[in-house]
This record gives sequence, structure tokens and C-alpha cells, in this order.
Amino acid sequence: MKDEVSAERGSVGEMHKRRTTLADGRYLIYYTFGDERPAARGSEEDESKRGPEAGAEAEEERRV
Amino acid sequence: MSELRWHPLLGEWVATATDRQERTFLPPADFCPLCPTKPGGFPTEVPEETYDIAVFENRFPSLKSDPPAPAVEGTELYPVRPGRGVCEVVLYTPNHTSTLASEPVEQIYKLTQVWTDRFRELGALPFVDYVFIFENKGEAIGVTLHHPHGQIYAYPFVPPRVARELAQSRAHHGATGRCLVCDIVAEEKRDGRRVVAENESFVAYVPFFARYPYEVHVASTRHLQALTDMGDEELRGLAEILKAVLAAFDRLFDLSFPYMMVLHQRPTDGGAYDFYHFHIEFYPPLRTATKLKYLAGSETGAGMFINDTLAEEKAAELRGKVLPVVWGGGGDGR
Repeated sequence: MKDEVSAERGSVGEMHKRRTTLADGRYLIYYTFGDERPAARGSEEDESKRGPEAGAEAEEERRV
Repeated sequence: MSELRWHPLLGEWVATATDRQERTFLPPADFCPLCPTKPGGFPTEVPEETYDIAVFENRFPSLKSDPPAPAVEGTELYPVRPGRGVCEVVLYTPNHTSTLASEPVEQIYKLTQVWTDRFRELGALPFVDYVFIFENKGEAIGVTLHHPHGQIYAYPFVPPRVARELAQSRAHHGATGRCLVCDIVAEEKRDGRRVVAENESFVAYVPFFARYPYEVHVASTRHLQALTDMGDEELRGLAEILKAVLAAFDRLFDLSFPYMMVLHQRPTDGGAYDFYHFHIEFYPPLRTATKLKYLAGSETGAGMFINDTLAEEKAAELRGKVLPVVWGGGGDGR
């Protein structure tokens, strides 16, 4: 399978995106959030652009 | 086979997707094709469990990025074209028994980011004119798989319902110089009786013109056209208001509330749509705990909906079920 790992930075926090190809040729993308990028299988180009740490889950009561 | 057939009476395309007749229908919970594959178990669509949200191409798509030639030849009266587009499934969580309403607001916030990423990526495809993000929830809607998920259809044209909203929005802007949804939001806030919930960035209301008893619209208070126009605080606000509305739906009759949820954004065909306004619409089929609002002759054949209820009363019911959204509060917790 061919995997691509990408990490998007931005004010929304750190989203990690890993694209893989299923046996029938369809793509499947895993999205994970956090400081560490998920381990990818096989070799691939690291296109990640690490950004600020993802916001911690703040205990903040909002109107809604 | 996937093709588009022209409907000359309505001036719109109809998709014919015969593969979908054989799609998985209500499998038992231990045979869920959307759950992560268990060690030694039957292979599912998702080989791994380590994800927050997963997106994959639908195995039974209505549109395909590389569709075959149509099964029939078109004519001048009945044009036919290949059903080119993209259909994706968005898994909200690896947890089969969860729902979007019962997930913590943090998970919904992650979902808004995934939606944004999908809108950006699919909208950039040269053959995609509209990215439609939606969810069908509940057997009452016709859902075939219970694992919590939504879908994304990337159409090669602007779909009819959105095209009509665009036409109305364009006409209103031409006549008044103002955005139609901005005016609707202002009127709903001024009146107040139909507002269900609000925060700094969004307002949820049962619209004056609701067609379903518990129809809810969620509109951004800032004039913008798509998820990609939102900042981080707005995505957080969107997650909060979605959590608030979805949880209120479930509290209404103390059951997992069925609904269709649709995101209306600008087209991705390169046109100018500054007059349009991002909003989400919910169409719940229940009119009581045990009765459905059916789309019968008037709705389907004439296009005129009949609502047996008053929007102001239904909004008051929902408003009474809204609770503050707590970040870090964990999962449900509705």
C-alpha cells in the first residue's frame, strides 16, 4: 500500500492526515489529531508541516 | 454502472447507479463493514483502528472519478453523460455504537476540520463544481449502515436545490444590496421566538418557513460562503452549536433522533458567489416521538410542503432542551 502522511498546521490545531490505498484501488484517509504524527507503513515522502501544538481540551463552559 | 440522465421537465440531472442496488443493508453489529477490522476477523472497509476520523471512497458510489461509458446512448431530448464525481464516506469515530450527538464537542471540532480539508481538496478537482457534505441518520431516513458516519458527494454540476438558493440569494442581493441569509438571521434574532441556540459565531433556529416540524438551520453570523472562510474560533463555534442542537434533538423524545443534515456552501466551479451565505439545514422526519412526517403527493408531486406544526412552538420545545456545551466534558453527556 502506498501511504502519504501530511500534517496541517494552522490556527485550528494540528491535524495529521495519512492517505492509503485499499486493495481495490480506492483511497482511505486516516485523520488523527495531536502532537505526534501516526507511524506510516512503508516508505513515503514526509510532506508534513508541523505547526503549533494542537489545543488541549480546555475545560471551558461556553454559552453553547 | 454510473451515468447521468437529463430530466427535461425539471432541467436537472438524475444519477443512475445500478451498483447501489446491492449495497450492504442493515448488517448485524458484529458484521459492520465500517468498523475497524478485528484481528482474525472479516475484513472491513477500515483496516486500522488508530484514527480519530476516517474518510474513504464509497464502495457503492453514485458518482465515480473514472466512470464507465453510459449504458445507453443519449439523444437531443435525453442527453446522457458519464456519472463523474466523487463519493466519500466520513467515519465520525471508530466506535460503532456512538452518534455525532453523543460524541464530545472536541470530536465534532475535529470533524469540522476534516470537512474543511475535504471541501478544499475535492473542490480543487477540475471536474467538481460542488462539494456536498451531508449525513443521513436513522432507519427512518433510509440509512443502511448504523456505524456513525456522514458522506460527501462531489458533483460535476451545481445541484438543483443549491442552484435555487443561489438564484434566490442573487435576486435578493440585486434588489436590496444585502445578503438574503444575513437578513434571515437578523430577522430571526430580532423576533427571537424561533431561535434555538446561539453563540458568538453561529445561530440555530427553526426557520419561519420551516417545512419539517423540527427543521433547524444553523447559519454563521459573519457573512461567509464556506468552511474554508472560517477561522479557528468559528470552527470551534460551529462544533459547539452542532453539539448543542444534536444533543437537544436527542433529548426531545429521549431517543436517538433521526435526521438529514446538509451543508450548503458556495460552489467550487470558480464562479463568484459573494452574495451567498454558508448554512447547515437539518430535516428531521419525526413530528412526534412515534409519527413521521412523510413526503407525500403535495411535497413530492407539487413541491409544496405542508407543516402541521408552528415553527415558534417547535423552536420553544427544542430551546428547552439545549444545555451549555462543555469542552473537556467527555462523551455523552448529551
